[in-house]
Amino acid sequence: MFSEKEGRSARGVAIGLYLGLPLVLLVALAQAALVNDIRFLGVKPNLFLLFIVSWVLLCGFRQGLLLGMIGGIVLEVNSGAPFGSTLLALAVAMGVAGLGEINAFRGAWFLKYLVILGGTLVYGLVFVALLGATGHRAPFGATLARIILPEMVAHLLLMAPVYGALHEITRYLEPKAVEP
Amino acid sequence: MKAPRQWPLIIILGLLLVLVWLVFDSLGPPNPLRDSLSRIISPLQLATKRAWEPVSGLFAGLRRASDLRRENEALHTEVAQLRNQVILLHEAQIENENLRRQLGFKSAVPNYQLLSAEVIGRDPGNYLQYLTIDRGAEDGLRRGMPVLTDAGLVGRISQVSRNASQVMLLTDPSSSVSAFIQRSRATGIVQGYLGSELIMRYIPQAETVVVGDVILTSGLGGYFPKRLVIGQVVEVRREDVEMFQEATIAPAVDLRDLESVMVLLNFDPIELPEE
Repeated sequence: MFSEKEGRSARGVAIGLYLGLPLVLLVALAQAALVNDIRFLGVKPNLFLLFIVSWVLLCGFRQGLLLGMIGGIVLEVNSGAPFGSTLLALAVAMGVAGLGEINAFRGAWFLKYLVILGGTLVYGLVFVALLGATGHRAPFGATLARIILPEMVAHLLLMAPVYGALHEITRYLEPKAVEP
Repeated sequence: MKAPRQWPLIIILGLLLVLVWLVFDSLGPPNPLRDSLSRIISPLQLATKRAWEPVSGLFAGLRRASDLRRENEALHTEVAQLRNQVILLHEAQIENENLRRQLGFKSAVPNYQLLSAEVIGRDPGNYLQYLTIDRGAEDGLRRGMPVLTDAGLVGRISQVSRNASQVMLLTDPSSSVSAFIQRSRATGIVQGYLGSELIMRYIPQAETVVVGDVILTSGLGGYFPKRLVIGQVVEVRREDVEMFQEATIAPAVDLRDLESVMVLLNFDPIELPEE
């Protein structure tokens, strides 16, 4: 289910990781330090989630999971949530993105949009559930209406540029590994 | 070569001309000879000068090309340095204004032992409202300490590490502060609510709350000192069938754009339960 894409060479994976590591750290730091000033439909877009979901779609689940966990730790340091909440929610969202590798719409142009919608929804639900379970006040209905749904719309609109940029970068480095 | 016969005549005429010129000059200005000559020569001189200027500039430019290149580079460097200095001075001015405000506030409340801190991070998501500041246990910070600015209350320290701390903002859904309305003295609880606004709950129905009322901390519960400014009422919701009324509060501090805060060191909050 979560195997690497066919034809991926060990060298290709290494290049992807060497490129992905600084990129993922950069995006995580930007998410923690800069994105506060950016509001899209009243919410801060989760650029890190967009980045990591796109990476899973482009380079496979395992690589995405590894980078997601590394960047997730940067987010955890700045988060007020109990340690591990962000990582766990991210892992589940990446699982949803990983499903994109095997589902019937594989290769379809709209797959990335479906995946980011599902990923954002699952990330939000898991995160709110974890907050509630650890004693934080997390009103479910209000969170869904005021945060998760606007985030889904914002991510839907931002997915194309983020995915497009990453697609170009990975294609430049590893032309055969990326789907057209 | 044979000398012309007219030479003595030419010399005499020349001497006569000089003599006449000197006589006219000694009679005082204007010298009609000089004047006539000048009228003819001046336009020619001007035209020649103007015609020569570009050529002269070109030659001068060619001669100074390397000098100009060096000068241009030096000027570029200087402009960049000056631009940097202007930016740094502007930043210093903003910092200076912030510090002056903080100093003014510290002078206004001499009983408060305040420690300035820079905001170095924010919660990356939308679900929680936290800040990270550059002061930690080494600076004497402890969990529960109130965090404020000269404009009012910001929140409280929720986690402390050696060199940094996390601040739970008033707007975090888990934040609750005992408060009262300055005008009517009615009490209630101010809670965060998913975004930039606050809700004041549990205000008795009998009390009147109006838009613009100032909300202060009541000190009840022991988490915050009394009379710190929280914000102002912007909306009141009152249902006859409810036991209490609610008000939406606009925080006194713009919590989204905070760059520096102050931690109140000499206040012992009641021990907070572990999160």
